[in-house]
Amino acid sequence: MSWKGLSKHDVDRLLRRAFRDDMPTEIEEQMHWRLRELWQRASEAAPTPAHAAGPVSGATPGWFPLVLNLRRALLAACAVVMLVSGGALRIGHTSSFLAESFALRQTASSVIGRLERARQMECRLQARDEQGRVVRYSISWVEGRNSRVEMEGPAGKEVRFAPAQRMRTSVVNVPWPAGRMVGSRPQERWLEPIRDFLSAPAVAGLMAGQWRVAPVPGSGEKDRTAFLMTAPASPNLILVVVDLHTYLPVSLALFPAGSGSQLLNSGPLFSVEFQWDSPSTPLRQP
Amino acid sequence: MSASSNGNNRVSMVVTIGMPLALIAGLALSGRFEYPLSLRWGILILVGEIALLLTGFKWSEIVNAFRQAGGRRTATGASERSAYFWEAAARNALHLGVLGTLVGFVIQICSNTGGQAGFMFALGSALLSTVYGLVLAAILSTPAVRSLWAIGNAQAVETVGAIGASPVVCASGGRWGHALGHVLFLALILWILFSPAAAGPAMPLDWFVHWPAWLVVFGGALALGLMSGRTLKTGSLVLGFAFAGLIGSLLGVVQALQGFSQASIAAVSEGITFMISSCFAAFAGLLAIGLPLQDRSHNRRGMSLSRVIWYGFPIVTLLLIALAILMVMVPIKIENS
Repeated sequence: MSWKGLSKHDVDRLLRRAFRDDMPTEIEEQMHWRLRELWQRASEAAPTPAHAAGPVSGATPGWFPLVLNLRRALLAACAVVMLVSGGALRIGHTSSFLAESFALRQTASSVIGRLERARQMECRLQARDEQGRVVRYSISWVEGRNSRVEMEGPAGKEVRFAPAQRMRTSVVNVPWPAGRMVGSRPQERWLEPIRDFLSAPAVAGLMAGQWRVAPVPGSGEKDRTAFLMTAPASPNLILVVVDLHTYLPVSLALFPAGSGSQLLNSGPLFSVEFQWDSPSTPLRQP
Repeated sequence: MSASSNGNNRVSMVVTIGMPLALIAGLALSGRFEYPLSLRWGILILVGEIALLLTGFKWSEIVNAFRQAGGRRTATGASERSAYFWEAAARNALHLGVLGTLVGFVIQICSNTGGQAGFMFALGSALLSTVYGLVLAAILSTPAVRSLWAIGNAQAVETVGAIGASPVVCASGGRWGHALGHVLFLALILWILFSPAAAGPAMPLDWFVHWPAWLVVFGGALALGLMSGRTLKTGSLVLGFAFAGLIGSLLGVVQALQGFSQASIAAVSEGITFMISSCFAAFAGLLAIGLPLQDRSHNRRGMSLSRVIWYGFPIVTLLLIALAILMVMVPIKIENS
């Protein structure tokens, strides 16, 4: 066979035909993958400055760089508008109810922190006994001592001392006043209404339990705020009013859970008023 | 194919499927924590993973990657793509896990429940999402390592270079898969946004969609993307979303800290809301737009920076969540009053 008379094209075709089966399938697949990848990269590559400046080859239409630049300009304008409006909204944004929700949690957290650090407390508690008669308690507590409890009810006036320890179970979790703490001894019955209020850490323990904090509509004042505490298992609601200067509770009242929107109009099951000045009654240890 | 080769493939399949299952079972049974296995986070991570893989890869690429993980031989180009696929899957799992923790934190804030003890318990439960994400990421990264190992071996003997032949156009397709992935991911985001908190006054939507934060993050991402590259189809948007999200979050942190110094609860809450919403917007932008565009692209330039962002952004978000928890729990005014 003579090579003369054959063009380069013919030689190329001859070689291709002759070596068609020599390439292993695996290598061929690899080549295809590589070529696809190269082609994709080339198609994704950014246009060169020359392309951006103007049409160089006949394949690129003359309007293409203009459209490209217009699109980029539009995107840049969008970005600027978004950034400026975001900044402006941020400056002019007023407190939303999210802020209120967060503020509520912060307030509850602050109150608990303050209560845990308090060294003395005085409070007055008013409740009704099982016969519906009013019983008044006056509790004085100083850190490191027993709490002094002054009771005034149908049976007269009486002063007792009780250990100021944090309670494991809360009396506010049982139906009031019919409910009684399970396992309480008869000699401890008198403690039941007040066991959560014998000391500041005991009140903090009550508030730090598994409670949900909710706002009370229309309760916001300049110096005071109020929030509701509810627990899924509890039949009661607790309304806490807080002094915004000291972040200490001013009063606390227990309502039946069904009170709902009528809460502030209905009478509490029992109420506690706190005083955080120095105790007015001198403490006398037994 | 010989019988021994078939046997090897079966063993490989058993190892590929069985070992992760054994790892999950071991983790579930050996835990001494009191948290139950959370179905919510499991759904978030699994559905999110499927959605993100569909948005970033063609169906054929997904099938190839699974085939290779099962021990089948593929061409070198396909191996590289498979390795990238598994690395992207591990990255998605990590991002979704941290996103779940962010969502759990916000749901707990919205519910206002639990006092301090209950708050911490719920946060621990939210952190399970990151644990799930990390476990899944660890499992998914093993095929990536194996693929890279195989590529390294193959390239040692490979002599085939680029040949000047006519370019083979990549077969179009995968649009339906991408669309399905986007729809799935959108459904997931809507589920997150509208999931009710436990009897709380606010919904997660109110925390996540804080318009100033979204505008700053998306505007910033677009601006950074345009500045960093001439095309938004590569990793420039990933960079944009991550940095814009971080800038927005840190702006929120600055505002919250100023609020602490001024004893202003409103300023602190505004700052934390901005921070949380910026993080969520950055995650949404990354997962819905930035990462799928990068996954679809075959341009692998600047991957080092991308990898820093892939793994750095979730870690920084976790740190920001921890800072937010601290700000929520630490009383502001005690020292001042």
